[in-house]
Amino acid sequence: MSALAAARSVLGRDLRRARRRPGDLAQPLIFFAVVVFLFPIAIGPQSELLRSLLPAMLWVAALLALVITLPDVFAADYADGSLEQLILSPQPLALLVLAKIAAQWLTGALPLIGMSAALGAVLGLEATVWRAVLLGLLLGTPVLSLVGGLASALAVGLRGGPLLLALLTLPLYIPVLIFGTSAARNAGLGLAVEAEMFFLAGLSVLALTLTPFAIAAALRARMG
Amino acid sequence: MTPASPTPACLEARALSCIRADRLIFEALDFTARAGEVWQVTGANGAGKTSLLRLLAGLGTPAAGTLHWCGEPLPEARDYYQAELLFLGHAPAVAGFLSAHENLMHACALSNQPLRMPLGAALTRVGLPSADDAPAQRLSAGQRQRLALARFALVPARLWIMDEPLTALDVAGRGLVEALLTEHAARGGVAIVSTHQGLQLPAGVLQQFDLSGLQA
Repeated sequence: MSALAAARSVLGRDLRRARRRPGDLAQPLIFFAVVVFLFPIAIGPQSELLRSLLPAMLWVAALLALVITLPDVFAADYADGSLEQLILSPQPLALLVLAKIAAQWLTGALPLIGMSAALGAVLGLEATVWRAVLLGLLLGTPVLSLVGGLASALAVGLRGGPLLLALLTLPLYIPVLIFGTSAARNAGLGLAVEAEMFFLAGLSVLALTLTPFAIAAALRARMG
Repeated sequence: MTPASPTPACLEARALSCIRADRLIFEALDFTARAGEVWQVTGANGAGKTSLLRLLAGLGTPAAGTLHWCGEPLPEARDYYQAELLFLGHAPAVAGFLSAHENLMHACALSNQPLRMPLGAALTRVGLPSADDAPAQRLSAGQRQRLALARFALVPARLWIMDEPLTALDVAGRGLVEALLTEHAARGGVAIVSTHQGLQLPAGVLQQFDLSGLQA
């Protein structure tokens, strides 16, 4: 029980950070919206091309917006010494790390999905495609948070953090991007999207079971 | 899980070597810190005090040599060891967005111990207001250090590792560290402390340890 209490405390702590520093929460969201709105400006708002590109734009913008929030996962805790205390806690580190990633997903990815819903509706996405994009993001973003957390752990304390992290992480996001956009395309053609959704869910479960241990090991190695 | 206090606390290092960034920091380091002893690690800047303390805390692995806690080898006994360890690093692990009280509560949740006193009492003990909701980023460096010390008043642990605990503290703060260390030693705890300043502790408690002679 005390391990769960510790994990809950980690989760609550990071959620509090987001609540007390709303600027940190808003910046990636605004970045996301700006990137998405650059396309209608470049392509022209009424074109058929824009409507067919919209799911891909939402996905790519979401990946970029998520990548810029990654350094926040461990960098601040590394700087103020909290990360040492987390590692030295007698509680299982993988569980504590999972709580941190959960907080990152709740404060970083979930608002992005909400924003995608709003932007998709505003820019005139078809209902079936809109649903496929949102469900894909919902199933795919846990992978992005977990894999990004691993990269963030590996890069903690290194110089050139944020850009290095983006370079490390974005290639690893490609499978999720492929399944996510393919689902949206299929939905647009009136085809079934279950296969892609199952793949995304499978990737999420895989990441959920493996990456916490990898992140814990990476953090211990980085501290040495 | 091993029950509390089965054997007297004892941290034993044998032929310990540390390499950082391809440089040998120290080698062939031996010491045995027993219950009731406070070991003061001294040495010039760069002698490896912080490296040694991080190594002892388990934040790093020695290049050679062994560590035993109460006769059990590390890092195999890490779970047991970490439950008995309190560590104070260079950064006091105070989150600026949490209040002093919340910071302390989080530290207690991470440890796995029944607390020694109420949180407010621990804050009072280290000279901080016990009911202040202001975020800790408004605290001064010395107050943050005091907040970090509150963990030591609050959470029972038989091994304390403190890296420069007197940093940013005033004269009263220094007395507080000495009082905490004296109580800890009287309870049969072990402490490893790095500081350049002299510590005023009862006779028989303080052991000196100089790293300067061990450089390659």
